[in-house]
Amino acid sequence: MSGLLVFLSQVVSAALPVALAALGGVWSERAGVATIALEGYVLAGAFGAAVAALATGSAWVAAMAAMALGALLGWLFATATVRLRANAIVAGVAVNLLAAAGTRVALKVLYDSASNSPPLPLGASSGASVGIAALRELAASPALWMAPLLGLASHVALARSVFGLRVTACGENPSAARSLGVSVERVRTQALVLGAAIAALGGAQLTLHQREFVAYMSGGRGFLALAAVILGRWTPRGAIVWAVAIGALSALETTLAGDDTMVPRAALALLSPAAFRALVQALPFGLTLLAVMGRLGRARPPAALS
Amino acid sequence: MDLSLSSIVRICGATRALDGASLSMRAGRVLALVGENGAGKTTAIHVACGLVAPDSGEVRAAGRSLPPGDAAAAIAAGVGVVHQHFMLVPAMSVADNIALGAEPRTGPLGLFVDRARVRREVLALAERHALPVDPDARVESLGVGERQRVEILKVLYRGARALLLDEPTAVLAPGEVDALLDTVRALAADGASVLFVSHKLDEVFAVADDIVVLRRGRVVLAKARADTTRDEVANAVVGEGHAPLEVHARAASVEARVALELQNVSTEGLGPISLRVMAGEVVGVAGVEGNGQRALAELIAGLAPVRAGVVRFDGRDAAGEGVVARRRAGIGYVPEDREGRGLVGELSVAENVMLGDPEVAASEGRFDRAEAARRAVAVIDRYGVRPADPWAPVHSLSGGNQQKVLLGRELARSLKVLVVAQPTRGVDLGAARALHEALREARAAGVAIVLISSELDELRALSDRIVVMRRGAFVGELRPDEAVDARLGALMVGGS
Repeated sequence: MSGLLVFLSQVVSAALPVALAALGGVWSERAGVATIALEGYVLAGAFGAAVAALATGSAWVAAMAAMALGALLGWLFATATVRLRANAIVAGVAVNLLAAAGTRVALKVLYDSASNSPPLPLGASSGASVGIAALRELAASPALWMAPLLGLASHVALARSVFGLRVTACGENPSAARSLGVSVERVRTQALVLGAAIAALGGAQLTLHQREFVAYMSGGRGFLALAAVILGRWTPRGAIVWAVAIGALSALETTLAGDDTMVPRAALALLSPAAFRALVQALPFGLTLLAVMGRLGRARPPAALS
Repeated sequence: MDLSLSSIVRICGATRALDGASLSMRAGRVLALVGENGAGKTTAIHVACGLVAPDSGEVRAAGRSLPPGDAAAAIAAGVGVVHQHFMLVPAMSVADNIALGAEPRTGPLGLFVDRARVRREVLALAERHALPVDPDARVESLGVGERQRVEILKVLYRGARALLLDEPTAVLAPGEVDALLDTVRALAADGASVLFVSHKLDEVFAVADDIVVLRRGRVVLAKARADTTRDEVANAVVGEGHAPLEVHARAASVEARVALELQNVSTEGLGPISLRVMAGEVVGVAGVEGNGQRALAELIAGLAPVRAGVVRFDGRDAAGEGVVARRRAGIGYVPEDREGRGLVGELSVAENVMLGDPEVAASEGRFDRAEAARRAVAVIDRYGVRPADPWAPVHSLSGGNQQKVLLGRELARSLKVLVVAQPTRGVDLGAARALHEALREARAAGVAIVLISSELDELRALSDRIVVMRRGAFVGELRPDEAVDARLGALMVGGS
């Protein structure tokens, strides 16, 4: 029983950052802007949370700071892509590089370290080994409570709000929106800033969970989130479902790492246990490739996505 | 509502899309705006509805000046447009498309769209104007006629009292056209002013109270329908009484050998058509743009697939051959969009000259810079390209010089058939002469030439005979000396 609880808490803590980043990705991609910048948002959010937590000792302040920093980065990205019409992929790479380099410089300046921040004053991390403690720790995480709320709110907003309708229109046919007097620039900028803030909250969860910021700690979660966005057909619900699935794979990988005997015997005939784990980790990307190739049902991106 | 444009100038790149045009729509009346493609009709609509700002001039709605380039202000003033290319979001419902940008709000802080109200209002409007639609259907599932009804409802939903319809009948089937004309009349009877853009004089004379003809951005005719005739309008469209044509003595170089033969050929937007071009013959293709000329050119060049029929070069069946095989067989193509399709702007003259060579395209190995420069210099010297630098990027050349490079590249190969579209568009007079001279030389050398042009003078000056295209078919054939503007114009626009 406790083994299952441990596993579930691992799934949730692995899924949360990806789910939030994916939710952010849904907002900006639905507005018609390709967002590989998610990786940078997650990393920046992780760092912002660390700074705020170290300064105030509050996990909630840390979460808010992460969102603010993400929003700032999202505004930069929106300025480049929406206002100055830079290519979204190139600008996204720039945001990712900026976040990676910027956090390292700030680490050095603020904490005189090349690799990590001081431990956060939020109580020692229990690790994930003790079931109940792990759950309690998870429950203290702002992201755990905000993720479902944001997911639900995003779902309702995209489906029924005026803003959601306009975001969808800007992502599907910006000329149509413009011809009706809708400011495509403004709507896209708002959607991008909102999406970046949500994605950065995913980064905050990473830091708060590990009790420290580590350079490059986003570790590809932004790209996993992008995969969840695509697999989830650009809907909040789909993105979150796939983020949880990706979290489960990640937790599975962690479990396998602790116990080689759980690797299926058939797989061992072909692969080493480490190679099998790597395969499990790579699965989401393989699925994404299939999805964009249209092999997993109809994956139709927003028509104006670029 | 009255809506007027006064002395509008709108400059797009090097051309004046509108050059001091004025027109005035009156409440309760239908104003037909007629003109060739590129005459400035769509630009006039874009200026009127605030999608683009004019460089000078003023738009007034109900006597009040509208801020230039402000779509929201134009909508608020009651200006509504049905664009030629529909401005719809296919993935959204009819109701959402109609409400977008003017959503009635409900719920806390007015965050939500009041879809029930949209639905109710759409149904009421549809009923009142006899424009049946299903508000819950997704636009992507609708046919063209239904989509157009959605566009009109979109405009009416915003309370538009001046409606601008940009070539609304171009996309419709005949039965749908009649219904649309009824709608237009009903809207005017209801007190709205309507601008109706069309090439088709039948429709114009069936629905308009007033007629304005635009040519090259200027108003060349503005009369009440009762005070004009179809012939007068057709002449105004193509431009009567401009510079006398340069008639050149034609050497009797037409050989008795069929170089290009199309038999009942059809492709997307074209045909079935039949055409024979002899070696050393120039066949001019006249027609309002968008009537299948491009499909014809691409069909011959091998870019458009042959759906049915026979294509022969020098008697040899070539229907199944692709571009490379046809180029190798001596087919040349100068597309009208020289920067977009003919040349690669970022590459040098020399690289562009090499690009067209199927041997280079099909060979492996290194790029022979010396050979490229040699060929480029040959083109540069022969046609007087300036600057005379084989390594200058093509986008740094003027339009006329680009066109010389493009035509020179094609003519440098031993061609049998050349398709050339709008060879002198946007080209200065000197370059135009040089290009015409090059085409004449090619003809004298026995090349069969299909010349597509909207310049009637050019067609008369170069062609041995002129065929007229309308709606993807040949509707007439004239000798250059009998191809006076009135006759060509009548064939092109389908007047009496």
